Amino acid sequence: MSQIVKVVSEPIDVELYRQWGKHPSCGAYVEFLGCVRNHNEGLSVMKLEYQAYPQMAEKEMKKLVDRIRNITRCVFVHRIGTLDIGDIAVCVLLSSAHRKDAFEACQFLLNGLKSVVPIWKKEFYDTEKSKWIGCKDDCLK
Amino acid sequence: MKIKLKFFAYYETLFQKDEMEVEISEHTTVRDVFFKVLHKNPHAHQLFKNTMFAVNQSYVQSATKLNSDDELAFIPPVAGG
Repeated sequence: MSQIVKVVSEPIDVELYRQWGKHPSCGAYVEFLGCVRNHNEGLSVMKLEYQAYPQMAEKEMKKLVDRIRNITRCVFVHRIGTLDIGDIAVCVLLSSAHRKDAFEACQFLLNGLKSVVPIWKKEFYDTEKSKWIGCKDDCLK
Repeated sequence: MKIKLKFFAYYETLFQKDEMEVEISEHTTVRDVFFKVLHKNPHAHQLFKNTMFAVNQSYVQSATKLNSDDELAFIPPVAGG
């Protein structure tokens, strides 16, 4: 499997990865883009700030990629820094001979991203307040 | 011996810094260090339950003993994507 796995601070060039990700041996191509949305839990979100433990985040992302099977090409890229509404935060592209492997690998990588990869996000609201996501409110007092 | 602590996200806000050095004795565990630096925090036990730990950029259990020059990171709940 060929792979591109990294944490970046610049905008994700999806078109570039689309070109790279397709392969003549693959009949399935699955693409997931995680974008910044303008609301969460009833609050209006103005922007997000992503932070990572960079070297460890890439290491954990590569460990996840090492566990997927029957994938020919894999892109797994996360952006950090300040992102505006609509910006792409995460890009997962997978090509495989058959669709089942690509769909399952995509779910696996995203579930892993949200459980073990040391990346965090802070939401900034229209109330001028902000909050790191994931820590329960009673831990934030 | 000295180790380096790394703080991210919630912990960086809490400590108002992203890293610090602490002096520890032999056989000190990750858990010992956590409660040493958070001894004044009334939510320390709750935070501990919601925190993972990494030594030299690999996840470890809280009972892991530390060595000189280790880099110990407090990993609050991750939220990528």
